[in-house]
Amino acid sequence: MTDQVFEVFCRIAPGDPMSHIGTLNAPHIDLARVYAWKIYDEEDWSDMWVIPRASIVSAHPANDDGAGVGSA
Amino acid sequence: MSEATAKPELDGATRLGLQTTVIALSDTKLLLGYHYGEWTFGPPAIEAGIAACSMAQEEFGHTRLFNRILKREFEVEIDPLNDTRAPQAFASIAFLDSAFESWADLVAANVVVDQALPLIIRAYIGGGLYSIARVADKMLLEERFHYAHAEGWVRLMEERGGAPRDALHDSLSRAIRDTSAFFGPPAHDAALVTAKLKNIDDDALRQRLLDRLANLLAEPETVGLTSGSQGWTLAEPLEWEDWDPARRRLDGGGPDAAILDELRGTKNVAFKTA
Repeated sequence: MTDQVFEVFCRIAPGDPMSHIGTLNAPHIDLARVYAWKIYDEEDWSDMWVIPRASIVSAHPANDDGAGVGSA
Repeated sequence: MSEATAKPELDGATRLGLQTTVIALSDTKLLLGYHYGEWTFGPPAIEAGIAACSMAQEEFGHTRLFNRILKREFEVEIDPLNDTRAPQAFASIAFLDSAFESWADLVAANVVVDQALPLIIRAYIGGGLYSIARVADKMLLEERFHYAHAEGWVRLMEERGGAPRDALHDSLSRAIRDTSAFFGPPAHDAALVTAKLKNIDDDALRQRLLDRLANLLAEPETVGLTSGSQGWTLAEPLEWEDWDPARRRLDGGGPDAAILDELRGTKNVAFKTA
């Protein structure tokens, strides 16, 4: 099992837009969740998401070959 | 919890049993924090080092909370920086006595030792020692991430197989025996249960821990466990004749002097400010 890249998004207050705050490497989503919380805990976040980069799909027409952002 | 500062009325033996439990939790968390801190550098991933460093801070914080309870409830003062106790006076789990040889030791401590302590702490919630219940929520919330980290690494090493898995199994075997000893012989804590200071005895907690560990592993027999009518137990049962209730140990050892020197800042005593 090789490491994947995960993107981390957070917001401080409920209702705020999610902001991209960084990336991390992890072999699977469970460890990615732990690492995200431990690495990016400098703020009192109300919400934190961790998303495999390979799961992010570009919506821009210039990238309409169907490739995910993570695989570009 | 209206009687937040109330001290339970206990007989001497029960009170001593409670006090030694809190000392054992404090000492074990101190040593666990040391090893997590030790692995801030050298882990197999930068992210794992950051997680280890964070867990170290939390374990040291928990030690401080237990030391405050010892001072307030039992008039026992433990200041890690000025602690002069000999290694043979520590009530920490023996698996933590020496420097960890590899990442497998850290994962074993993470999944066995660090899972055992919250089981013990949780047993006191709702009991008569309100000061434990008061700090338990935050502590247990932090411990959830420790367990998620441990489970993630065990799963990974199990799936990878080969030498990493073999190393993990060797570390787990030792951690499981030493931690099983920490829970003590059956009924050693009967007075604490009878006094309703805790809602479950250590024997049942040990069983719960072994069952959870077995569920994580493809072949629990490889770490010295065997399946019985009551669940998973040690294939080679522990002999309790030499168990020391004050230290919750079977052997006479203790943490390496070099580790205690680092925890106490012995080399830098000239720079102490107080």
